[in-house]
Amino acid sequence: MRQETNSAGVGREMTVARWLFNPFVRIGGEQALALGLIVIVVSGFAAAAGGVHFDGLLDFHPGYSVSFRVAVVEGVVNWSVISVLLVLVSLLVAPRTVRLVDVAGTQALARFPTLLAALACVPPAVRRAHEEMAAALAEGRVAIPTGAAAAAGLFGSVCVIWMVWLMWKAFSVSCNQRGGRAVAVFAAAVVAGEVATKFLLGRLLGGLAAAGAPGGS
Amino acid sequence: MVQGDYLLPALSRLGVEDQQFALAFILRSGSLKEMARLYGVSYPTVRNRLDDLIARLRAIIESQEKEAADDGVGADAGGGGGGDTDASRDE
Repeated sequence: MRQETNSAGVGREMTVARWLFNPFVRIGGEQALALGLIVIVVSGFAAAAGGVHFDGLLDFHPGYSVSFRVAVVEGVVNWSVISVLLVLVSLLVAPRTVRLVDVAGTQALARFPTLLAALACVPPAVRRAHEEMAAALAEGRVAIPTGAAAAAGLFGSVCVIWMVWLMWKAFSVSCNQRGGRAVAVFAAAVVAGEVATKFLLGRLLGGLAAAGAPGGS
Repeated sequence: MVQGDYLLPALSRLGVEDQQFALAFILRSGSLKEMARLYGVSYPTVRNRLDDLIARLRAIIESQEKEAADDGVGADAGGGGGGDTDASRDE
């Protein structure tokens, strides 16, 4: 029956760009949550191996000594805080049936770029260069990054921007929010999330200094 | 032969794709999970598609009720039993 097999206006064509920038058309709910939690844990391994702190919703700080436990706590706090905030604002601006599992799952999966950002810092030469830079900054000196360290840092920053885009698409799909007001609400939630995660992680882990001093000490 | 001015039922004033979606939804007893499986998309994507369809249906029904009030035509413009599909969602 033709009506049963056509798209009926449900956009299901998945191009490479769509997989990269809006996979939530295809992946949501429990599936996104399972994949997202795997991403957070694997990102924890990569962050520990690459010496990267994600000590805030939008933070990316290479050049530190980071344990796996701290890296996973950072990932879990960042993910859970923004998920709760987005559910709350969604209920405020457009009370409709929003499933927590969709919001939490898609937000977890949206953190995939942090895995790539951390992996880029794993090569020993890159990690060493980042540690020297972080140590120099801690002492108030200026350090010139090596080419590889600069490239990894730039790539990490691009990954954070990519992650924010994915977080927006995740919010848009899981809460059916569109338009200017939705963008404003999302931006407000992200700013509040950044403040809240900095505060919470500071309380939980004592900030970067306590979580792992620069230079791997 | 019957002649006269009659309003089309709200469902038949929807576009072809909306009607196909509504048909598939009814045939699956209103199961969004089965709809997501049918179209190969995520649950929130298919739920958003349903929300858009509901919004369009409500707009049609409202405009039909307004037309009926203006023209004094029979008031059952909603296509009879145009119940709220929210009630049939999976949760």
